[in-house]
Amino acid sequence: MSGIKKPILQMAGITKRFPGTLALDQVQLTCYPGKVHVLLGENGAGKSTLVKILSGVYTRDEGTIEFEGRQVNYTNVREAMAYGISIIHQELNLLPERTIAQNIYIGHEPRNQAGLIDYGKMVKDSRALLKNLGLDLNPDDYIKNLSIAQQQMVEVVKALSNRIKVLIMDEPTSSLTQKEIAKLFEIMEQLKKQNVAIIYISHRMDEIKRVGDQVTIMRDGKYIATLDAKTMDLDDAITMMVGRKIDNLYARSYNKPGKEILRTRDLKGLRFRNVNITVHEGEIVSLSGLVGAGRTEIAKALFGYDPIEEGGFQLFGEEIKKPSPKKCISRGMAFLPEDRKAEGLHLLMPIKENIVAACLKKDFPNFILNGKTEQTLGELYQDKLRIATSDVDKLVGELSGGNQQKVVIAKWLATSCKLIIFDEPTRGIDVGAKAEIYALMDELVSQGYGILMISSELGEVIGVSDRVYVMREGEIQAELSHESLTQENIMRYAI
Amino acid sequence: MSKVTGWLKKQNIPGIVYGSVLIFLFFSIIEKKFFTPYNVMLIARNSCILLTVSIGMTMAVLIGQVDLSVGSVMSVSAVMVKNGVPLAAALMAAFGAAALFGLVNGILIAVLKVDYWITTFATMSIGAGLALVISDGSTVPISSKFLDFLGNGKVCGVYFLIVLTIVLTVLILFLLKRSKLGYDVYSIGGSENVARLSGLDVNRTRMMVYLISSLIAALAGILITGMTNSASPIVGSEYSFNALAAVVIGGTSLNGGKGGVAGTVFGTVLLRIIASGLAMLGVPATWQKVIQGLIIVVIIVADVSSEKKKDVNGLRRIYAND
Amino acid sequence: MIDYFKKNVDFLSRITILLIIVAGMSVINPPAFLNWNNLSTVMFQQAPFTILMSFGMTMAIITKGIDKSMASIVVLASMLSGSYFKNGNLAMGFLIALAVGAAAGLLNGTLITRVGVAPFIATYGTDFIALGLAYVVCAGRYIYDFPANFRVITNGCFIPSVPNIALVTMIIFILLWFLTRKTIFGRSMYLAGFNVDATILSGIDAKKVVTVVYTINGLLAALVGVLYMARLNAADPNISGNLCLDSIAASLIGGTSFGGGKGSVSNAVIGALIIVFIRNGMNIMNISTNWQQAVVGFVIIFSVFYEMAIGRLTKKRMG
Repeated sequence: MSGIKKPILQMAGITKRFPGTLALDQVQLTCYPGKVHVLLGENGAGKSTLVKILSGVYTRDEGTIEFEGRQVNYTNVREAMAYGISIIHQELNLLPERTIAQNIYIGHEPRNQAGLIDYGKMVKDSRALLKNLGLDLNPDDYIKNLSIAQQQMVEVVKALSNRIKVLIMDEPTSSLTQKEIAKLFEIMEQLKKQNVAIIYISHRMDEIKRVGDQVTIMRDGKYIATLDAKTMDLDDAITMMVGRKIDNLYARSYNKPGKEILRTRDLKGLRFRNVNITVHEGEIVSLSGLVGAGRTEIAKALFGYDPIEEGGFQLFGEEIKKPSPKKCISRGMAFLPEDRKAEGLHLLMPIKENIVAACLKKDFPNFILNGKTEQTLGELYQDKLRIATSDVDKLVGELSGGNQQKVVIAKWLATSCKLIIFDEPTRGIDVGAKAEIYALMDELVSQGYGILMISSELGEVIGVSDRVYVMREGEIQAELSHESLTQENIMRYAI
Repeated sequence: MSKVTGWLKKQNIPGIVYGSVLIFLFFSIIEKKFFTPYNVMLIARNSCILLTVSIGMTMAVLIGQVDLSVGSVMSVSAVMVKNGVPLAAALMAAFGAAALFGLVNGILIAVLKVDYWITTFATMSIGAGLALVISDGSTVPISSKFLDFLGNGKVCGVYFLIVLTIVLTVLILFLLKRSKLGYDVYSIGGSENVARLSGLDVNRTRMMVYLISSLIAALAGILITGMTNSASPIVGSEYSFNALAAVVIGGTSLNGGKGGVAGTVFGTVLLRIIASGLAMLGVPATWQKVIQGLIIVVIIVADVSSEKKKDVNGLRRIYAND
Repeated sequence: MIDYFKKNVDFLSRITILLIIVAGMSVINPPAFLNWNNLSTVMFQQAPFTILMSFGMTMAIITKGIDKSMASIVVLASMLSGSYFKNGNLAMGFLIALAVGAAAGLLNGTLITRVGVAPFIATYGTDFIALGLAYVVCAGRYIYDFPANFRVITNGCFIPSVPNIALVTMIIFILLWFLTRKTIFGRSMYLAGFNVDATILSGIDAKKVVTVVYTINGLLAALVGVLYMARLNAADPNISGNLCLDSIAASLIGGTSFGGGKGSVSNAVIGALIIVFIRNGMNIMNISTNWQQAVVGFVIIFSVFYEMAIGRLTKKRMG
């Protein structure tokens, strides 16, 4: 082997716009065969968008992609696959009603001479692939009967069943156990030997040094730097990733907590069990843990959106039986969902109508709407939360992410809530707006609100929380107070 | 015996099969004339047209959508057959018109992303209107030896229509199980997003499904013209609903990706057994329709609720097909 | 003023379509179209029924659903209440008709929101059963020749020179406009139409709201059944013919979007008038009724394209 190989892939000047946001701004990425290139950045930095462009899911607005020394211009997944570019998505992309073999070969089924699908060969090849990766799975089993971790491994096998030259792995370890992660890293070593270029996205700092050769750091849709993984300084990398000293971003005045407002009792639901947590007035309590650890499910169960299987909870000292969003709101709970656009907002309705959506019964007790009251309420919260718009009659969909989030917050402040659940409060929001949201959260707890926050960003969890519950696979592993919060401390319990 | 039950389990046979057998036994017991070779043959023959249409509908439902226009396509193709027009030309016109309907549905739904209910409802209305226009609103007797053979001829004592339907059923069954198209239909029905991310050509497959569904409906229209020796502009008007019912009763999920032609065969036969049984018991024709409608709704409700139970996200949805 | 135009470009464009059709008819055949006899027949005898049906259809489509069953509820309600009206027992007749409508609507709403059946299938099923029952009830005996005190509901003029049917339609319009635009219920309906999940998470019982919408539709259909019976002076199960197709086409061409949330009862009025005038125009031009169904079907497809074009236009203005 000669010293420096030629790059297999060069992306340059990649720009991608979505309505209202510039998701990628002149980003570049260069990959070498047999090397692992780590993409590092916070949520919303544009990593997923970049790899989705590379794998043909999105098409770029500007920029060039050079593959094996030639300009390529594919517009869909099929054409990208034909070049040997394959991706393991962050979300599971499997068909639960089909077998493992059928899922592995979706899109490139083996066929016989007559052009018909050769199921015998498909099952045989699948078995060989599974065995090769040391997975004890029957290719005839249905996906719906597998655990999440097993499904994730099938996802890996699916990507490997293609003839691959570039493999993109978008947070593949987020729902795997230690054993499977070790297996995955072994697979990556094998692939490197076969000269496959790997692009690896992960939030876990410890993994970067372990598997990476190079690291590209992104922030707010922009390319920041490319470093050598072995020699780089982790603290420097984090600073580049966040863009400023973490201390400036979070302003917290830790208050003395007041009365207890939420207490759960052995709560069991969709993906969690034995959950006992409390929230007091004046404190921000976080649920931390990996994606899929059951945090959002707890929030949705408390809010009556998902079923509670066992246990119960008290809100302001009152036992809530059969919770529903309606009941919880009337008792003073509020919930900012993680997927703002799908669950928090009516994008095609005016700002003021969104703001009053949750307090219709309270503010219009005689069933009849009043345009003036609505306008006043809208403008009141526009002022209070500094929502940047000329007119509260404008559609929410026209606002930027940060301002949209403020509208959701306004919607809840307009109710008489005292406990607010923030699920990923700053996802997809730029840094400036983030600081505003944190300041707002701090202001709220100073006024006696209690906040339960769910977040995947460790910096955020460490920066704003009074207390943190760390979860793993549906159970609370530890309760940490803000003095003892460090990345290492949290990850120790989360993995 | 255990081998048989084991095999049955593996085949994943929907409850509908057992249901059909039970209802068949029920009618056989309370009505002597029910289980006779003549009546069984009659039921089989009466099932043929509905089964043919339902097979096309099955593919549309498997892909997660619906084709309401099949009934009207039947009518349109039926009235293409006219006395004085060469049969070959009439058949070409029938299938040509059907292909056009299939393409329009496919382009609107797959490429332009128009809602499939509203698209096929509109083409259903257009088709029903055009059938009336072409025929000038009247049913005319048709005398064609070929068509008569298709509808009423016998081969070795068995109606040719039955043979033809079985051949078509097996063909589509094979297509769905072993061809790339069938594989993709199931994948897209399972999850359009997954299919797209796995590099399938979702649009082309959708268009093919609507095209096939329309062409099969045209065949059904021709067959019923032969069976009744007449071309009627309203012959297909109730087939869209009945075909959809047969497919859903046959266990093909309205969410797509699950079920198949085998279930549809039983769904169709069940509907026809019920019709035949009710008629034999002397239930008035008007009541027969109501009872059939009720049975269909009850089975659909049962199907949807059992699906929902399995679906953890079911609680979050207002509509089954979001 | 310009602001008003910009904001309502969609609605105004629909009115323009209506005006173009009316103007077109006036040019093509003025003597047949522009005479009081024709216009009053269209406005006071045909349009009200299509408008009333379109109100219901529009509300169903706003909640991202559809109501295929309304036309059959019209028939069933009139078949079941016909004999009471015939005997002059108006109160009982109305009670029966409205009870039938409410029950059928409630069934639709329950199937859709509680069981989770897709709206098209749920209402298709109700449609099938209701029409079947109507024929059972009818059993070949048609009721006709209603007493004058019943027929006055549509033909009489409570306000001089305005037929009661027009008055009733006007009152229903005002009631529904107020209900959908000025009350919590109406707001909840729009919220649910735009985004069901966000609505439920805002503490609004979206399932109840949607159920009520379908119940209102049932009541509207029952009312149409009674009015239609009074107007035709007969109870006949065959009258349901065009009502369903016309009201769907009217809702869509009127500007209600199948994607949910967008539209209003005012849109329904415009859309219904467009359809009624298209049909009237074809009658005047001696186009056979056979063509009319196909044409109305084409109107649906045209509306879908129109919606796309308008959407693109307004989006450009936003950006």
